[in-house]
Amino acid sequence: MASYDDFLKNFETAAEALIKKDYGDFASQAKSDVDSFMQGAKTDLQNWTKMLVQGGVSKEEFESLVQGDSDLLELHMLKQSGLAAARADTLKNDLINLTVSTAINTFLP
Amino acid sequence: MALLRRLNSVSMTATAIVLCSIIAITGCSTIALYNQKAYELETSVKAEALIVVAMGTEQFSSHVADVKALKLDTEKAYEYAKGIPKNEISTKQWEIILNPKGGSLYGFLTLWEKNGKLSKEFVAEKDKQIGKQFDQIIELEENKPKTGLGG
Repeated sequence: MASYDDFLKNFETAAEALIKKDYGDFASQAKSDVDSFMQGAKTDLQNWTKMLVQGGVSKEEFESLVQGDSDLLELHMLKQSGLAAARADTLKNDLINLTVSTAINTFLP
Repeated sequence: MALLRRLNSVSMTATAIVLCSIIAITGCSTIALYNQKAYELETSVKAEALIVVAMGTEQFSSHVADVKALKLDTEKAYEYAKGIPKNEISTKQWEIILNPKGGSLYGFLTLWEKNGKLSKEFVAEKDKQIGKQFDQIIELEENKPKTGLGG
């Protein structure tokens, strides 16, 4: 009969692999995503300023574009927060399945 | 001896069940599941919005019906998202699109109505920007979990 220690050992090994799979490079991906977004916003601002100076867009239109990028940043951050929540839910789901399957495989082989 | 072994086995099984229950109880989902209808509404409203935004160089008065239809479809998509449990993040994203004083779709429509028509450069830039704004909603939907906890 398998012991509780066997169950814990099996669970820990599998859980470690699971956390790496579900979370792995999420933080570095999110950072690189934000960096690339900020770089794009900087380029946009340079182009719009040129358009404003050359009369291609009015002051009101320029303001709308700048406000639009601020809205885009907010939408982007909300998306990131949603993606983090989705990852957390996936990990929780995987952990429940892992606990059940490890218990069954350990105690009822 | 056999009784002791039996008790030990029952105790281990009970511990495992308790452990599962703890994870299940504390494991309530924090975000809505992927919703196919929400995804379809998001992508179709994006396509419709970009067509209407591109008309911004023409007189607003010639496109009142187009704008009205777009607003109706946008509000339907917002109401649908709002009605999904644990969908607060997507709902907040829609509220940015719908803000008439903001820099997204409804802000654009307000400016167009106020000024009659808009410059070609502005409309081209705004079309790209509003497209990217909708992409944030769509990308979140696409990456929501496809199955619930324990599924």
